[in-house]
Amino acid sequence: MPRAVVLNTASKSSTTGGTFADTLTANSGDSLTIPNLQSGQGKIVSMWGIDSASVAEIALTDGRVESVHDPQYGVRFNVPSTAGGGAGKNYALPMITPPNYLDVFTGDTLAFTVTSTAADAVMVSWLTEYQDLPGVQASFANWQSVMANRFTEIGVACNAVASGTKGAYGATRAANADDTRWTGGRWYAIIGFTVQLPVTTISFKGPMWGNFRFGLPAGLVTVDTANYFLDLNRLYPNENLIPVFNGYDAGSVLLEVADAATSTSPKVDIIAVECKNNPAIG
Amino acid sequence: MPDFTHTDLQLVGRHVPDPLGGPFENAQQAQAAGYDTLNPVTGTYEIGVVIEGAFVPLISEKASLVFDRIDVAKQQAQEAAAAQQAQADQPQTGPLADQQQPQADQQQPQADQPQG
Repeated sequence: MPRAVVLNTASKSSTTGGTFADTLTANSGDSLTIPNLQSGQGKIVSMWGIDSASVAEIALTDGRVESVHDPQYGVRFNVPSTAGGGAGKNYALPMITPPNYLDVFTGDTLAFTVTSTAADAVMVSWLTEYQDLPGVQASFANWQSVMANRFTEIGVACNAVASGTKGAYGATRAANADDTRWTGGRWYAIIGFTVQLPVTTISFKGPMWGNFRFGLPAGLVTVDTANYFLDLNRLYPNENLIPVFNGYDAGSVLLEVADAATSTSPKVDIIAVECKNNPAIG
Repeated sequence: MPDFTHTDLQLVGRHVPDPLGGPFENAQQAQAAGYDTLNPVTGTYEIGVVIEGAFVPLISEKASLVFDRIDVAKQQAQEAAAAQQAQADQPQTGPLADQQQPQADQQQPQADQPQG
């Protein structure tokens, strides 16, 4: 059963404004369409979003009542972007938070419509877990298997930055571009990371995860990211949600940053547990 | 009487760019640093007060968002000024002009009246 955890992002760099007047489009390399699944089903385990300057409301719909209630507004989420001391201060606000989730089904297409203020940038990112995605055998572990193989811990710097276009992913940056201390032959379980400057979304991608993105928010209220994947695993104890890669492949682990502001440089320090043996399961 | 030690504090703002964020001489330099634009607006914009020469930040925003707002404000001001100028330059024709002309004629004799 090849499983995968996939990050997708949809955004609009400058809205026209008005009541559900704007529709977000998938970022480059991402998709709003649920792929063909052996089981026919996946679940969105986490979702977050932001409006760059004003409060907003986002409606998530698709065409199936087993997933969202109705195709009119589906699940509506408020985005209190001005809470906490000013517009643009939050960077990422939770929409779907574990252990809650949203079922999605093969062939469905998600749609995000937005009520916002003209000229704002709006973006939403979400993690979808597929129990059985054909062609993918993503390398993920759980905390027990990581602990059983634990050797040391490492924090590695990677200076990925956001795009000059609001909401888009910036240029890819390899996990060893700024800090080369990964050891070939050792296995690394990424439990989270820390940043200097909050951002909406940080993406990881590599062949060990089927070349699909996975990632997490690093906004003001979600900036406690040092144990993000470990915490996600705790909230879904039966799932393997801690990404694992081999040190030989550090150059293939690519980070990308997407933010509602342009050219944000969060200064990522990846926190990983070095393992003697491969802790990945499945 | 409140026991303020400092009054009339000056509110100031400053741009604190990312030290690794340029300026870049060419696109290759910018790309090597991870940026997809030649001259990215990086870092934060801090608003704070100066107390006895020391800057004390009160709030920090992403600089690109602050400068975006400044650009939008400038554009809106230019558009408003252009609209105002266009309105002023518009020749007074049609019904409005017809109504204003007799009014001006009526005021003229009053101005000629000797001041008592």
